[in-house]
Amino acid sequence: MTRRRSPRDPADGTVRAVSERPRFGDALVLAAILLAIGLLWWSYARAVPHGDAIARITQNGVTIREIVLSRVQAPETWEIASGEYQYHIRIEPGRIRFESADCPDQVCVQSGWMDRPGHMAACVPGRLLIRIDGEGGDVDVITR
Amino acid sequence: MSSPADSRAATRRIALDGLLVAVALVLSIVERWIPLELLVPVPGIKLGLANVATLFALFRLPLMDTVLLVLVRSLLLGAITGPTSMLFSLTGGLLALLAMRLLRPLHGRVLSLYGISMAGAAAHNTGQVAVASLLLGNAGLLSVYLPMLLLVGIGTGILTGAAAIPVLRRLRAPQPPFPWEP
Repeated sequence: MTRRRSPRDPADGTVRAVSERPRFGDALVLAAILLAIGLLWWSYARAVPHGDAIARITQNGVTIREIVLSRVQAPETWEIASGEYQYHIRIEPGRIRFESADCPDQVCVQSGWMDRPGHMAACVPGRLLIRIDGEGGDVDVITR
Repeated sequence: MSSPADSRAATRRIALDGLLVAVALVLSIVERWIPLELLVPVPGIKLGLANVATLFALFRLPLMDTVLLVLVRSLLLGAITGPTSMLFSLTGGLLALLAMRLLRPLHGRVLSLYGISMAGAAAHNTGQVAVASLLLGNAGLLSVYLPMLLLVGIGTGILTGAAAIPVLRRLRAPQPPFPWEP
């Protein structure tokens, strides 16, 4: 029962060859991922707008509502339908969140409260996004 | 495709491919029940257990079978979980496969399954967030959300790599002769 074997690919078909221990290339892969994380974080930190927190709610990439969070007087639960789904967006003085949604993955609800410029929560199935920008900040740096 | 041996091998190949699709699909569904975000507070993270099936196919089966495995699993998963999940799974799965296939020749001396699986997880995450950015019309998502996913992906990549090692060690590929090999 000899299988096609190649010395450069010892895992191919042999039982013996899959005794795995980490190799130096694994560290290179890890370093590349960490470098990507660092670069993305740096580009994020650089582009975070300053100033008063403004929540922008966008649907299919179009802004449908803007709220200056510091000027919110009374808490409000905003009900909105997007795509096939229903959302409750909770707006309180200084902060905002997806309170509930009937979308399948619940990622938007799990994202929790947002109160600082740069914060973001999205429901991709419903194409609904809340992001916090800063008043007067150069918002378009981090948007398309 | 005329001799009985050929048709028996072809049948075995189809059966094995079907089995792998079923395993990958079950793993994809089961991992949705694991509340991983309670442990790691990043919304929407998954273990990526189906990658174990992809890794097995990558090392034991022809490339075409592996591509089909990813495609069919994503389409069936989409039928269960909806079109957005299907797009995520399709883009992420194919990008992960591409990355791992490109690294496969380095397996052995240079890379272990841990490294290959980590790279696959990173490619999967990148594809997913890219699709989300396109659908939402907001590229900011890439710099906000992707770093968190990549960080978690290092851990889940190592885990799925570790899970694939005993699978690859114990399960042999179908025995020759193969109709798809020269």
